[in-house]
Amino acid sequence: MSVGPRRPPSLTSRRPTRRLMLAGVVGGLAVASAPAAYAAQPFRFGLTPVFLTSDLQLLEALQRYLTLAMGTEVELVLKRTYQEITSQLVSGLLDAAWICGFPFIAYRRELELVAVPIWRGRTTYQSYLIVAEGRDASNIDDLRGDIHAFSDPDSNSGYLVTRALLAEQGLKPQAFFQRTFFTYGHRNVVRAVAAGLARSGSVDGYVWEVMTQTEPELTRQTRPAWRSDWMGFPPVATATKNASSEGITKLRQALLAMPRDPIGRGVLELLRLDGFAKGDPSLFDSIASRVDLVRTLG
Amino acid sequence: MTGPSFDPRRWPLAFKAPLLVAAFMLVVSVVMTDAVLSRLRETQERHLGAMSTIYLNGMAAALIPHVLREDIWEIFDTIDRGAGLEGGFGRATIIVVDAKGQTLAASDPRQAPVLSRQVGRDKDFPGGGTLTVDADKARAFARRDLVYQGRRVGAIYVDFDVRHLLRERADVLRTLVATNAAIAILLAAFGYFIIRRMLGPLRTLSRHLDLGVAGTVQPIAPDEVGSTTYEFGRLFRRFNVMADAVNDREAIAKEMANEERLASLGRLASGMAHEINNPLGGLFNAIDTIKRHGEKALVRNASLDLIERGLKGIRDVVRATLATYRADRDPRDLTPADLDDLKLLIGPEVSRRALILDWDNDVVGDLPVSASAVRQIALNLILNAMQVAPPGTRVHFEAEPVGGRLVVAVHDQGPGFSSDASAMLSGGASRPAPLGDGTGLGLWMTRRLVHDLNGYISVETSPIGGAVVRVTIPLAASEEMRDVA
Repeated sequence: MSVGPRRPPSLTSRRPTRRLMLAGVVGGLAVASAPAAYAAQPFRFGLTPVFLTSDLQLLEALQRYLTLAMGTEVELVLKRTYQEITSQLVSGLLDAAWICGFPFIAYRRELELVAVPIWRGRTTYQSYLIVAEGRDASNIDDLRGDIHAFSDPDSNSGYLVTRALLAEQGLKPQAFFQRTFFTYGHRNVVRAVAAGLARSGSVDGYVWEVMTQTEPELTRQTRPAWRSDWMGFPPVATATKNASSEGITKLRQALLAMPRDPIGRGVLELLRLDGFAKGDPSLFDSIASRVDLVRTLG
Repeated sequence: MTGPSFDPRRWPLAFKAPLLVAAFMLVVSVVMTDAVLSRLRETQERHLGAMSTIYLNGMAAALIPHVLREDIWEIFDTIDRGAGLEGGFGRATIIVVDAKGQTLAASDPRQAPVLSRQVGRDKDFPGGGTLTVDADKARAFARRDLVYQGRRVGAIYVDFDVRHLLRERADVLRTLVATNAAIAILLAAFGYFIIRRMLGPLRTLSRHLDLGVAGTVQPIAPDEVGSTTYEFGRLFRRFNVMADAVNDREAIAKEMANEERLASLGRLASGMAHEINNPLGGLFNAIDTIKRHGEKALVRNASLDLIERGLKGIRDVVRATLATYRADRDPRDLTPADLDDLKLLIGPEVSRRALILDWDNDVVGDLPVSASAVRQIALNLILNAMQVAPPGTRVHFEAEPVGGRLVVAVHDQGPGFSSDASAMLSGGASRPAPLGDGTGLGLWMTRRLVHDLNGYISVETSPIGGAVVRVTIPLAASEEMRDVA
């Protein structure tokens, strides 16, 4: 089941190795035994292209809020792909990261939930299949033979959902579509479909909806042809070994307290989110079942 | 005044020279414009070639890794940003193909969708070039192979909007045309001004010549002579020498004419003295008779009668002579008696030359024409006729008003007029006859007088054998009518 040069590691190996677990325990002990030595280290918070990473204003506001709310220096870490963030998070190079539900499930043993964003009153979102405005299409079958744009091979909404849809029919993307490519960003999927580079695309429904307000001239050229069921919103996670650390506790408190703080409200406004909830890993069960489906049928 | 001529050889120099300058400028500007525009075209295309090479090299460096991976999105993202760069080009359309000629991405994917074939693109590059310009479509086409480790992995096709280059050419053309037109107009105006200035002395000369025809020739003022160029200065000085000579001759001719009149009057006066002298002898005899036989009533009355007739004759002669002089100072209309008086004046000359004078004066009442001038004309013509008429022949004088004119004719039986004399009388010659010829001045004066009265003279052969000189003078009252006609 090779779909591209970047194969998500989760599909080949879901279970953590013993070695990785050991490394996590050692890392956790180190944090606990020598807090003074780490006090000078900034809190490293990773961000995936889940949302609009290009928005420097948002990054600045988020960093300011977290630094103030946690009382420690916070460093935001940006990477081009989900994979880079996920592997750094799992290996402990990042203290926490805002990742996608798919890697969270893929590395379920190594990762712990910190918080889940609340969007439009709930902690779930959808995946959209978008096409050019004016094109007649209402489900995946109408997209056969397209040039199709995926977001990221480690993205739930931008890849896994469509992959699972095809797997149900026993199909692989390269057989169903004429050609697929990854844009490594949901916004890029919208751009590709709007420009006509791709005939259709798999995109995060939350991103598309937010873009209808921030970049309506772009989304106006596209149209959601199909919407998935509601799935757990991309969560903020941390390595399991790190889950009970003081930094994570502070982070969770800071995230949950966001709507009550003026700077926090500014961040939420930029993200078009209502706030953060503690969340439950069961939110991501539908994603886990998709992963299983793809593994067995794909 | 002649109307404008269509023959360019007859156009004024002041118009022709600036026209030539303008025409010359037109030729120069056409050649220059052509040279500048073709040079500009070369420069633009060289510039465009260099720019597109730099542009495509940069583009290729950025694209090759993505093309190797066939990363459609990164190729698109790269060229989408590159197509928007406006440095030196208008908006570009970029297509990137793989080694098989299949589209990987295009700046406008709707025009060139992913995986579409672009084999027709190479048609735009006849002869294997890398840049062609289509001026009609205002686009330039460029291509560059993407070569990695000596292997062709794909190609970039770019077409640029070069409207701004064509607009620049049009701007340059407009500027050249406007500048050249302005220079041509300025030079033409300057040429016109210069030529007019240079020809100014000719106009001065022409004006003075015109004045010379009407009256005396006026020399050109010394300051005007001094302010002109060397060549015209010399011309002016020569003209002034000529004007002085002409004026001197004119003055001499006038003086001569005066003397001639006095001479003819002298001749007349001697005749008149003779006329007066004849009765004087009789008158003294009569007075003698009265002294000696005055007591006899019969003798006395006969003698007084004789004296009275004699004195009347003298009185008439004196009166006619006085009239001739008084008329010069006292202009008045012509009466029949003015002409009849002439008969008395020339009577002695007629009898001296033994001629027969026929007198036919049909003038009745006053005529609105200068009496002294007409008398002078008639006297000159009669004297001229008598001078040429052989003794014993007839001289015939007639004067009659015809319509609005007075016609005076003098016939003789002489040898007829020489062509010189005839020309002088009727106005063909512009100067008096050579001095020394006895008749010349009289005829020339006659012509001047007739000319002053707006009349004309004709010389024909007379029915009685010799010549007839006929003078026609318009009467003042009918002058307006003549002008209307």
